[in-house]
Amino acid sequence: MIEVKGLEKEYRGRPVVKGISFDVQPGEVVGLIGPNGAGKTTTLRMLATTLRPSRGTAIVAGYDIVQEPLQVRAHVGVLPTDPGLYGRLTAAENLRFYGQLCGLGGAALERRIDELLAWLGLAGAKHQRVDEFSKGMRQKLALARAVIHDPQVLILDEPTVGLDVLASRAVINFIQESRQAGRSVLFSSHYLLEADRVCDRVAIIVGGEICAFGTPQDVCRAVGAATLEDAFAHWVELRAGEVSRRVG
Amino acid sequence: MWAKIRAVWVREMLDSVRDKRTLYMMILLPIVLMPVMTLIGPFMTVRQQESLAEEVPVAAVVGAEHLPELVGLIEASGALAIERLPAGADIPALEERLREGDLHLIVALPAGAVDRLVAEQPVEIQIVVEAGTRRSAMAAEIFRALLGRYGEQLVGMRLAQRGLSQELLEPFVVQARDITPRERLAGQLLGMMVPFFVVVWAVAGGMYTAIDAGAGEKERNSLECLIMTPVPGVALVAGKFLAVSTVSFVAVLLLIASTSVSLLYLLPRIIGVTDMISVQLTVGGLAALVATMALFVGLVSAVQLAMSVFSKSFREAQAYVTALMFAVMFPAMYLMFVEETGAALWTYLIPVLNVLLVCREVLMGAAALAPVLVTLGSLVVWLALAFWLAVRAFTHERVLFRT
Repeated sequence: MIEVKGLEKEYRGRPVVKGISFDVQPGEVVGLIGPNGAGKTTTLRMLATTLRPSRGTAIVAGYDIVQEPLQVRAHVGVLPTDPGLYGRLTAAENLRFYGQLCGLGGAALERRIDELLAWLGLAGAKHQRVDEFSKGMRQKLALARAVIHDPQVLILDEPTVGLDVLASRAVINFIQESRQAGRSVLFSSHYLLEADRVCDRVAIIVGGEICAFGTPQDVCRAVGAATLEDAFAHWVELRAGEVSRRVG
Repeated sequence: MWAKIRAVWVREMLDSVRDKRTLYMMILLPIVLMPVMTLIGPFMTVRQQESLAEEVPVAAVVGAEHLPELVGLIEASGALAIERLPAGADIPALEERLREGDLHLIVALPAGAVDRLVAEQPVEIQIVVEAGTRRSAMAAEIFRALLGRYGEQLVGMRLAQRGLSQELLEPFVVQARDITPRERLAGQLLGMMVPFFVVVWAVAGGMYTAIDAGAGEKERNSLECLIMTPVPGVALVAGKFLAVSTVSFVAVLLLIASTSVSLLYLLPRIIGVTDMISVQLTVGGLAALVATMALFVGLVSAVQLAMSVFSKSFREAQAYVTALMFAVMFPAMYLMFVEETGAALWTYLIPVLNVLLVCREVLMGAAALAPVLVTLGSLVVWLALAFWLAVRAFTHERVLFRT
């Protein structure tokens, strides 16, 4: 599970994430939704331990992100916005490399690679160089990489951005199957329909602050909105108004 | 930990050998192009000399009738083809032919030259050359040599007439003997070229692997995925460092091998030296050479890796590495043409300079223990510092996300 406690991040004295708190339970999918520059990626990077929080902390899979970053990484699967694969390596070589870095090896790793490639429909491309892959294939391979070590927690940063309908559907299926497998899934998105469909709970983040957190229905009900999109627009406009009043 | 370092190293090597740029810098250039570059100069010089030797330069002698004995001596030597012209020939027209390369030398002999010689008075001979061309300069040189020989004959006759020996004019007879062993000559030849190639190729050989391992990963966005793995930053840097060092070291070794073959085997055949020259390296000398090279390659690899991780893009990293290349190239070029011997011990603390000096001294068989030890110690310290910088860059979030 993930338990975020008053997480803050500053860049050169400018606050980007302002003391946010939320949690993701095992077998639950939580969507972090917000406009561009809201602090979604920074939050996910702090939880993935690639950025160090300025204040506050989080417990991920039972480990503190500040005190035990290596243990956190060993139990978390991360998919950044860009798949970041090695183009000159084949699909199997990419997965083998990350598997080895996660402490796997031998026949067990080879079995896991075959299993994941088959699950994501990439078995035929096992020995194909990633340079030759389509965007959708790359995203699937990046998902396989994220779960090569069978993590308890998944952190996905805008996993369906730029994908066609079929590839998006494969990613959504992957998230739903991960929930069924008992993983805690946190993903960021600005596709509200997708978040409404997939998430058990959503957190709306605007200007580095969480404005609303709960089930999509609760979030809508709290501001009297009919859809998640209306609730989202309500919070974005409200915060924009506050900022302009402050500047004015 | 080692299994993870090894995984990073293998991945980087796999990526490198599938990259044409790295293969070009690591294998093709050292094996093929550098020997060609080494041999092309001497080859062209020899070809030019052969061509010069085949064709006898032509000298126009104006007033040949004034000193027929000299003209006859030159003709008899066969070293210059003589075009005899009467006194009062058109000199500007001859100069035009000289410029066009039809003639290579104009010699003007004065009237009454024989009478002046008989009277033991100096004879003024005018020569006109086109010094910018090799053949004309060579014609002038041949003419001066033949004139000198003729002058010696005359002086000999004059001394004999007075009952004096020619030895009167030569109080000293110098007999020179070169005791430099052939191995040392070969060592000097290699000592001039090899250190330069070692330091330059330590940078160039692994350049693309280093850039790819840092800035390249940033551009591909794979660096973020890599640092999200449960591997300490120092292990990731160690794997990358080993890969860059391996590629650089292989490139340097190939370059030394191909340069040695070119200089010691091919060059003697091109310049017509039939006996094979070889370098006698002691086991200690060889060990010092390999250790110095390995540490220097490591130092340069760590510096390149730190620069690469710090860079925002592949291009920025390329600019930094190019600057590093020039930084090592200048002292290398300086030492290539300067015979620096007996350098103070403290100079062996300075990276690049110490590598150049030790390589040269070992190849010339003149290496002493103290400078070698100071060099190795200094390189270890600098390498540790550079590696620490690379790790710092790799684990610093501001540097990692500096895009």
